[in-house]
This record gives sequence, structure tokens and C-alpha cells, in this order.
Amino acid sequence: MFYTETRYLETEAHSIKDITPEIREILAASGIQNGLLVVEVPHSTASVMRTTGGPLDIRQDLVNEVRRVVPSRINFLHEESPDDAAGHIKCGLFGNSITSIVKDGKLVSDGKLGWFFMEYDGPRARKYCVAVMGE
Amino acid sequence: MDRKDYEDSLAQQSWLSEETVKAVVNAVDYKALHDAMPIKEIFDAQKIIITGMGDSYCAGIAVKPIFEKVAKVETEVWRAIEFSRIMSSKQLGFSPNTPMVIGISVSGNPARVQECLERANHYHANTILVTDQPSSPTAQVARHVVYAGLPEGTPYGPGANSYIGSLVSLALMAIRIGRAKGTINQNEWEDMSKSILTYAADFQAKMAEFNDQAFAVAQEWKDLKAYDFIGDYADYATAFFGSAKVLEAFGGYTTYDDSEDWNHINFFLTEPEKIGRVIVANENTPSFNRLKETAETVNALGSPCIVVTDADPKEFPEGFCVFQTPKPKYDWLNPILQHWCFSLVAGYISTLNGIEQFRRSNPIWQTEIGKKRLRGKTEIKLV
Repeated sequence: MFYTETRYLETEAHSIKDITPEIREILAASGIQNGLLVVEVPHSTASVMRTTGGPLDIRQDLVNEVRRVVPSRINFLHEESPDDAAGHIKCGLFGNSITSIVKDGKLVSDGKLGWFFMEYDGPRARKYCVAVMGE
Repeated sequence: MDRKDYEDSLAQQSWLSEETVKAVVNAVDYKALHDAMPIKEIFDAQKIIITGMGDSYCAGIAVKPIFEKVAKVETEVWRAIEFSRIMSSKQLGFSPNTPMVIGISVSGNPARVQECLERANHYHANTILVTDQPSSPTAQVARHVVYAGLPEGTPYGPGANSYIGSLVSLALMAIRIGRAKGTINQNEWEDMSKSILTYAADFQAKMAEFNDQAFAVAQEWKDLKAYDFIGDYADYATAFFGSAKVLEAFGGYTTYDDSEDWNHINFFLTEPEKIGRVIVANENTPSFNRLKETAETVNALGSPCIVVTDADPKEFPEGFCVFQTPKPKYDWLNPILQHWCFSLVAGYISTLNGIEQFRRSNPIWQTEIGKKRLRGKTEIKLV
């Protein structure tokens, strides 16, 4: 069985957005009890990451550290904008998709880890796609 | 009387307005802008100075709000004669690649803009020329050139489409700077670029109506004593440009001013019933209410009046000839095409009165000293 859904969001510049509730909704809508769930971000300056769903300051730390690892600079060869150029690098480094295990109708890591949409440029109109495969 | 029998070169250009905008947007693409404005130089520019003369100076005034609102860089517009001879050298090269000096000259021939760029180079400011002639003498002295890419055969004078070439090139430069500096995001960047084309298409759809309207006005206005233009902020450029067309197209007497000065000065012109007044008043202009008051005053004086606006015609006195132009998505688009309204009137007056544009065949204007007046270079006293 295969189920897919696309969700849309408006991001703020250099931001993190918790999409965990939406991922749970999509899994429930799929009706799949056991299988795999894939979240994919079809953009080149945004991605999906997983970290704790707990303290909010950790999310901000994540945003800040990502910016420190690949700061926006004016000496990239790609010159659309410093944020755009750095965003492409971040996207390449951190990837655009995450696969999670579904067991007994639940995501096994749910409760420990959340799903987060990472915006490396923005503000932008964005989307992410979710596919659930299994039975 | 058939309007088509009285079409001059301005009316003929009007049918190619959208095509001209498309050509410029196509020429001034990402690569062209990237080559002319490397990102380091964009970030170095603490200030932008735009300079030119005549229509090119108007273009600077018209786009100043785009540089300020979209690129968010402090921007000044200087007359070429003042830039080359009067501006303090302390304003040039006070920091690497600062200011970014943008000269405008569609033909690239007149000496004054060349002098400005030479002076800016001397003090290590950055220099960019917006031109349709990338091999021209002025282009040779600029560090970078933005080639407007006007369709072949576009007349430079009276040149409504050549003016569009400067305006669209400059708008795209401002948007590019905004994107590079992160003041607009990628969606906005794409949307703003697209909106230029959308506005050009919307305007072109009304061009036949504007030609008919202009021809009707021209028949009533062809024997007036003078033509007086009023506009504020970026619309001051449209007023200035319209006034220039009076001189270029049929050599009439003309003046232009902002609404406040007009109420203090031009208001006192005698025989107001013989003076055609043109008010450029857009709904989101900060002084829109003052412009409406000015329209009421013009009505009380009994002057025939044209209003060029994106607002509801009911905002203005009954009996005024209102050219209601399409409302653009971004207010800063208005000056890019609104100049057409009076340019058409000027062109039709020229043909109705049998007056040759620029009086080209009249020997009085063809003396040797007259011919040298634009291209002749005089020594610049660097200060």
C-alpha cells in the first residue's frame, strides 16, 4: 500500500518549523500500520531535520549552529545572494529527506524526536511531500 | 479627421511599448546583471548615485523609490552637470567601490555622463553605465555596462521607448540588488520581474484607447499658450518628461513643478484658460491629497487639464480629461509607462500643427555650434 500527501507552508527567513503534528496526521490518514514514512523537501535551500521535540531553545540552537557551520558570505561562486548560496550548501550537507519506521500505526521515534522544516533562505512559500509505504 | 493620418514617431513607438519592455527584460537578465554588479560590489556600495541629463536624469528620479524601497540602499540622483563639476569629492570613493555611480545614456554619446564616470573613476568609486550602445565612448570609460537591448530601430529622440529602456534596466538593477542583499526573497524577486511584463501587457491593452484620447485632447490643446506639468516624488519624473516632449515634439512653451511649489509659484501664471495643465497623481503617492487639492485649484482657474492616474477618475474634477492607467502590482511601476499619455498628446500636436520634431530641417538649429552642444567635451575642474 502506498499513500502520499503534499503540505504547504510559509516560512520565515532562517527559521525552523515543527511539522510533527502534520506528519502524525498524514500517517493516520494513510491507515498504514507497519512500514516506512518518508518526508522529502523538494527545494534546494530548505530541508527537513530531526531533533528533540522538547525545549524550544534547542531548535533555535540548531538554526544558529547551522548558520555558523555555513555562514552566508559574499565569496561563494554562486552569487544570487549570500543566503541563497549558503542555503544550497546547507541543503547539500544536511539532505532533503528523512525516512522513519512505522510500527503498529505509530512512528517508533515519535515522542523522542520531532520532524522539523528548515528554511535556509526565505521567507518563502514552501512545501514538503510525505509518502507512507506498508500495510 | 482620421487619427491614423496624424501618427508621428511617438505614436508609432507606442504600438511597440510592450515589445520594448520584453526586449529589455530579456537583455538585462541574471547573467547581465551579475556581470555588471558582482556581489562584492553590491555589498561594498554604501550609497548609490544615479546621474544623467534630460530624459536620463528623469529616469533616475523615476527609479529612486525602487532603489530605496526594494534595494534599500541610500540613493541620490544628480544632474550630470552638477555631478561632474559641483559635487564634493568627499562623496566619491570614501570607501572601496562606494558609491555605486550609475550613469544613464541610451546613445552613449553625450559628453556629460562620460565626464561624470571619469570623475567617479578618478576617486575609485564604482561606475556602471546603462546604455543601448555598449561600444560607445561613455561605455568605454565605465567599469561595467548594462546593455538595455532595445529593439533595433528604436528612435532615441523623442524617445519614449528609449526612456523605457533606461527605466526597465534600472528597475531590474534595483531588484537584483535587493535580492543579493536579502531585502527581497526569491519569490518576490521573480514576482517583481514578472510584474514588469504584466504591467507592460496591461498598459499595451489600453494603448489604442490612450491614442484616441490623446488625439482628441491634441485637437483641443494644439493652440494653447503653454503647457504646465505637475507631479511629485517619482511622478515628478513623468511631469518633467512630458514637459520635455512639448519642447522636442513641437517646441511649445512649458514648465514643470511639484504640487507644493506649483501652488506657490506657477499658480500665478496669467491667462490660465490658455494654459494646458497636466497633473500626474497616483493613488498611493504620499502627497495624493495635495495633488487633488491642486486639481481643484486648476479647475477654479479654468485651465484645461489632463490627469494621469491609476486612481478612480471620480477623485478629480468633472470635465478633466483623465487618462486612467492600469493599476500596477507595485506602485513603483507607474513611472515606467505613464509618460506615454502626454507623449502621445505631444506627438499629435506636432503633426496637427505641422511642426517638425526637433525642427531638424530648420537651419537655425543646425549651426556648427549647435551640433556640438551635446557631444563637445570641456575640461573638468576636479574638486
